[in-house]
Amino acid sequence: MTIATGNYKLRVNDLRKTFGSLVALEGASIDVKEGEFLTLLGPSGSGKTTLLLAIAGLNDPDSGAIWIDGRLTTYLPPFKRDIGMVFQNYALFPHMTVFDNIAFPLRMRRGAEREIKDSVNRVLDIIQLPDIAQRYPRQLSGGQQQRVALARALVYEPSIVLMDEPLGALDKKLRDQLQLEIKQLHAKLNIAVLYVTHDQEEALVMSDRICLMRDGRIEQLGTPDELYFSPRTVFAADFLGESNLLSGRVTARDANEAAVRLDDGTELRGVIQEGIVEGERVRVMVRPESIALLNGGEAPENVVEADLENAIMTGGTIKCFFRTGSGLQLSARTLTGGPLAARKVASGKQRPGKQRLGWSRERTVVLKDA
Amino acid sequence: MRELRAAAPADTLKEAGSVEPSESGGGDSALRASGRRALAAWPLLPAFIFLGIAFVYPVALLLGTSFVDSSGELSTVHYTRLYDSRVVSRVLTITFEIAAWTTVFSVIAAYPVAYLLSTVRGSTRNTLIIWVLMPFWTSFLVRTFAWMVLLGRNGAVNQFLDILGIVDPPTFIYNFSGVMIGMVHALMPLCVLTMLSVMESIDHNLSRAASTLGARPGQAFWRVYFPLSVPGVAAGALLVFITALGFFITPALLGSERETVIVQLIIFQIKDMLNWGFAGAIAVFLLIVALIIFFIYDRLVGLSTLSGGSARAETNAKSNFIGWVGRRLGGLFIEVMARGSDLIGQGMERAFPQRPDKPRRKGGRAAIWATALLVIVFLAVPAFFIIPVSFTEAQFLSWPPRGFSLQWYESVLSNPVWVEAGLRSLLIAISAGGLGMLFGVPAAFYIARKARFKTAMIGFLVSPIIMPNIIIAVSLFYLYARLGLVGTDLGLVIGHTVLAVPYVVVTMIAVLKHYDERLDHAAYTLGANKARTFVHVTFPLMRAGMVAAFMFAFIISFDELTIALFVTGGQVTTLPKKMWDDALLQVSPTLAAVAAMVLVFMTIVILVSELVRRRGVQVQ
Repeated sequence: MTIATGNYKLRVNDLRKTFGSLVALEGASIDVKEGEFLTLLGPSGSGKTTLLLAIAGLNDPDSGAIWIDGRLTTYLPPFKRDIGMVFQNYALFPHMTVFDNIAFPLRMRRGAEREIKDSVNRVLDIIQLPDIAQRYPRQLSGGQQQRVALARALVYEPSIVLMDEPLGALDKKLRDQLQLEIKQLHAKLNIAVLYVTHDQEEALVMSDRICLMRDGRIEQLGTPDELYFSPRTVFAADFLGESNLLSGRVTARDANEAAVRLDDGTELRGVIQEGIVEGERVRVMVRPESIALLNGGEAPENVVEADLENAIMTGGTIKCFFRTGSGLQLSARTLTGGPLAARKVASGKQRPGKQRLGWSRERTVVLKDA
Repeated sequence: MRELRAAAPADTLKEAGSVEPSESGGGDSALRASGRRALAAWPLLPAFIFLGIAFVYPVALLLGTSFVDSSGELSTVHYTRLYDSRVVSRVLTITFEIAAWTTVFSVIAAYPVAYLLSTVRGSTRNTLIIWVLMPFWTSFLVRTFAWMVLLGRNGAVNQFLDILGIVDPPTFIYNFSGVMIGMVHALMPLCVLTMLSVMESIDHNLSRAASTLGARPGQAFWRVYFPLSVPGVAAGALLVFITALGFFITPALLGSERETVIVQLIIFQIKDMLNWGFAGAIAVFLLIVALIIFFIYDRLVGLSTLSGGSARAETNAKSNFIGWVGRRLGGLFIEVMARGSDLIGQGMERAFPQRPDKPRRKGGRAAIWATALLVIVFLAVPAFFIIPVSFTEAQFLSWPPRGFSLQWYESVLSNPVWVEAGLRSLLIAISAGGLGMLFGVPAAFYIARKARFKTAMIGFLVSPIIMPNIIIAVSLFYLYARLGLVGTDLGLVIGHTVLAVPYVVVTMIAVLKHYDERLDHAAYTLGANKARTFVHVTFPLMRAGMVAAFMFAFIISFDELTIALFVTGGQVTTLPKKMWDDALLQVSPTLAAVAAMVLVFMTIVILVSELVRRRGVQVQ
């Protein structure tokens, strides 16, 4: 049974999975195109791993359908799916050498030993570990094991590679490095990847698209830019990055723009989705780094005057906490190399004082109050 | 040891940053450091000194005696006789046959049980484990009596078959099959536990990974899961085989003349022929056989697997020929099994094609559950048959029991011999358990936390229970005969403590593995000294484990027959010995009543310790 799936490597349609009375997954539909990197992002218990395991064939969904490379595979066993999977703890076979580990999927597919040898050596070159073929997994570092697990999932060129928090066990520095390596590998080999993580930064760094999940449902699916700058829900705004979420009421709106009066009386303008009516309670999202510390000339749509209460140097940026006369609290982020005021406050040389803050209408998102 | 050395470079790198200051000094301070280290090993001393006197020395003495002839001259006469005797060679053959088949059946039946236990959730697991251990806890003798009730000519099984219309059922008892049923029943739990500890440490993601990589269940099992479980299988097989070599209760009561085993021969030589030298030679021969088996095992999989270590790494033909051959044969076996099961899998798929739009039937899991439950019923149920027959009005054991009467209980409780035997067993078991704790607990703490050469130390402390009991029994008998300790309670307590120490050590090390030592460190930083830390933090958290260790030692001693058989010298008697003596004459309803009481008593002891353990777990 084949349907027209274009160049989709994976299509998931309306998947549902329950464990007893717990609904782990509900109405999940995603697709991954050839060469695309899609990340399932969400807190633990949001259903992202349940979805991944259903796609891998490691748990059966209650209803819905899964196509891999145009072939219906909803209830096929994992070994008939043509997938590659990288597990969180790597799941390298401890009693086999690196070579035998990587050769395993090829042998299961009854390849000729000579071709297997060539393929394994080629993939070892790709992961830049050509000399470790005869070692055992326990003799490798965490980063090396991770690369071998990756090689094992790639060597037979499966339709799609599934990765279940593959970098979860590594320390920050190595994680950052491997994120880039996986990204490069993905670009070089043009493979479809479905990646699971709970780390929003990782998702932003690596993905072509992100599927944000919450309580077994898909909250929002889009490019990192869309999710970051145009979240559709308060949850999405809150989960990805930092945000100021200000409560207020819509006073006027047209097609995609609205005026909002915050609870303290401040008037703001921002972009608004359909389905929110005048007078409705909303939350206005502004990213801290969208807020500029104004010096004079500029005139963005939204301007407030506030006292700088505190500032913390966090490395590349300074995080500033402001409070307006009406009691509105705002946090802003500015580059450490930027405005002097904040830097001085951070180092304790200057007392907090009045500051004009401004940000554009495009960077102000009006969201339905959850 | 070999794989330890292989892994050394990685370990040195890891630990290079954390060299203790005391060890980085010059020669003088290094000397002082080693002296300090020796002093710090004091917790090992009680256990080592005790086992040295009460175990190593007597065994060495036995070894010596076997080389002395009846006139006191040094000679190998006993060994020549051993070599020449046709009786001995026949008995040896049947002993090995019984041990080998027991091992094969135990391993095959234990594997699915251990696999199931390693995959089910905690509470289900604990419940199932209690049932698996049922025969392990209930006295060897009680179990054997139960099989006699079940398998006898008019036993429950034959009557059941009669109802089914099978008129002329095969005889299950007083022949090889009776011995097999009894032995497998007795020793399989040991196998389950050993395999379980290995299977628990196998990451179940590995099988899943194999299946995402394209392996059918059969391939995934034989190429990934099975090789990783081999250390458990091997360790379980080894323990069963060695224990089976020293078994005599089951063959004596459930077998015929033909199933006379080597231990019976030793008993016969000492009790009836008074030929100690020859008996010693047979015991030494048994010991040597055990050592050879251990040696081969070490070459094949590595002795460290017995204490939960990893199996031998790749070996070459020159340095370890046995290991190399074993590895090749094992590889061949796995290849054949993997390919065979894959062919079957392919056939099944062709016969019943898997539909992508319908959920698969999960037949495999149900089959494992069914098999495992069947085995567990086999393990747990038989002992309970002893209870109804103990209330019979008939003068002989028969099934079904006739009427209802308490006469057999009255006759037991009014017989001072039985009562005295029971009290003595209780007293000795409590003493042996207590002494075992006294020697074993400090040693276990030291080994779990500080010791180098862990495997060797555990190996020594555990050696009394991994060699046939009869060797200890005969050795102690020799020693006691010289010291006049035969027939004394002290002698019995010492003998049973030799067995109690290993059980305490093994249990405590297992418990300590799960103890988070940082809790002690936290107590130190909060101002508690070592003693107060132990009293207020370590001990309360370890209490459940200690109770379990004591119970283990208690039960082993309470049920022990071999040592009692020799050391009592016919002057005093313990409960198992009295049961054994009576059983040799006839298994009467009186014995059933005793067995039922022992069964109930043991069950209460186990339930209480399990309760204590669970409460301990809750606290944590």
